[in-house]
Amino acid sequence: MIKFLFLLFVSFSGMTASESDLWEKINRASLASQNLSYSGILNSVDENQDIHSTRMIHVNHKNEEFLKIEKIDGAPNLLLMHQTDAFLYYNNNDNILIQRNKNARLFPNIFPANVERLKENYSIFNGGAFRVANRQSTMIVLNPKDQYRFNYHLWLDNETYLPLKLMVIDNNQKTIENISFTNLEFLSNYDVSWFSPTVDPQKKYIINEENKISQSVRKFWSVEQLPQGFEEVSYNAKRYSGLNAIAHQIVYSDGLSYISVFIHPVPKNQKPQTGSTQKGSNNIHAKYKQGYQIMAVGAVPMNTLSILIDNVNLIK
Amino acid sequence: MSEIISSIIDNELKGKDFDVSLNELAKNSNALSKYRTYLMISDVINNEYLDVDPMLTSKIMSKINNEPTQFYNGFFRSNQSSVSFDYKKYVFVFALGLLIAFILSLATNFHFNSSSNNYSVNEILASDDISLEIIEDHFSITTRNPNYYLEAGYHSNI
Repeated sequence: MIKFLFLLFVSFSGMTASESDLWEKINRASLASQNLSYSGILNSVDENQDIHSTRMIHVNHKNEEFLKIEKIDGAPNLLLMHQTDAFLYYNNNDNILIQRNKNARLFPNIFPANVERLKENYSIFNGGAFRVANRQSTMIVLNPKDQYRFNYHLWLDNETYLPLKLMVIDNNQKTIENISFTNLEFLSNYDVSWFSPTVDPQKKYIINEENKISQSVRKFWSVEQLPQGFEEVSYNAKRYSGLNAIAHQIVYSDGLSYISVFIHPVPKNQKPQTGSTQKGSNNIHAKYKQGYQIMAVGAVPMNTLSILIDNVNLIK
Repeated sequence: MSEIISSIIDNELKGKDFDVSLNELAKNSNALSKYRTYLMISDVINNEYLDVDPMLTSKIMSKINNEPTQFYNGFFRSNQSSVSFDYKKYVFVFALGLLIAFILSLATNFHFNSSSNNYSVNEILASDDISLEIIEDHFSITTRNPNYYLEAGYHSNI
């Protein structure tokens, strides 16, 4: 009996140690994506199985992150990002349109500030050894503990823990997101002279000031109960073209999955959009409540969107 | 009495004779009725009958001559040998259809916009109806795919 309990204790400890080791790998992966300097080609596969490629350089210089991403296919759009400030350069015929964004979480830096949050909603497994971008890696599988989110598969570099590949798989075992390095080089030179756009004198550079509403907006909605693990991470209000009213975008996340909820009044001459559909990797669910359209968009199960919208109450 | 009536109509009586004849006529209802009939005939003969357009008959005949010959289902061939379509018959049906559609549309909008209850949802939303701006705004904040990030999030305000 004592022998049996000892074996049970050993096996339980082993499992716990294994899980905590895997979570520790996730923690290290988060740090590696911010602290290491690397460059490489990233491929992503869209819902039509088309491959899109971008060239990425990330340098951590004196604890400051510099990131440059260029599109290799199609329009040569460019992203320059310093810490949380992102500047996007869009090629538009004769013009280069510059737009400023904030707080992008781009692969491989996809983890929330507090990785511990993930433990509440995902179970972690070792998916085995794989070779990705000519490097040895370990696949880590994050399975949801409930029905409100999808499965995440991460391939972490064995040497540095840097994520080399990410796949998001829905409940029908369909891959809805697939990003991976096809080649990768770790940099020892912390020179950041490359951190500037290539100026084309033939083109006119225009800064695009988006029509976001800067003043505080009265929050006339409340969410009775969010799906387990989700919390509000972002809010925007802006006037959409074709909609003579302010639309509110509230973003909720569990650390890996994101849902945008758009709330706007429905003009009297327009029919509200209601129902469910899918666009690319995102599910979309919309409802009409008390003169307002509430639309949720996210790469999560449709039921999660439905529950979220059902719990939005409008306060008048 | 007929002679008196005839004299009055022919304006042959003058002065006192005219007054006496009228008094006689007024006393006899049969004579008065006859007088009215004679007067009407006289007016028509003299083209002085006010309620009847003297050109009416000729106008009616002219219209009848110009009227096309109908042969079936509203399609007919005119006397000028050109084919035409009796659109009025169909315009009415079309207008009625439009009216019904308009009333239905009003009723639907009223339901959508005035109901204080939640609109029940169990239908399929048309994917193409989703505003690109909404999808791009979602991507510009939430995507982890650098490629999507470089494509989404830009809305020209210039």
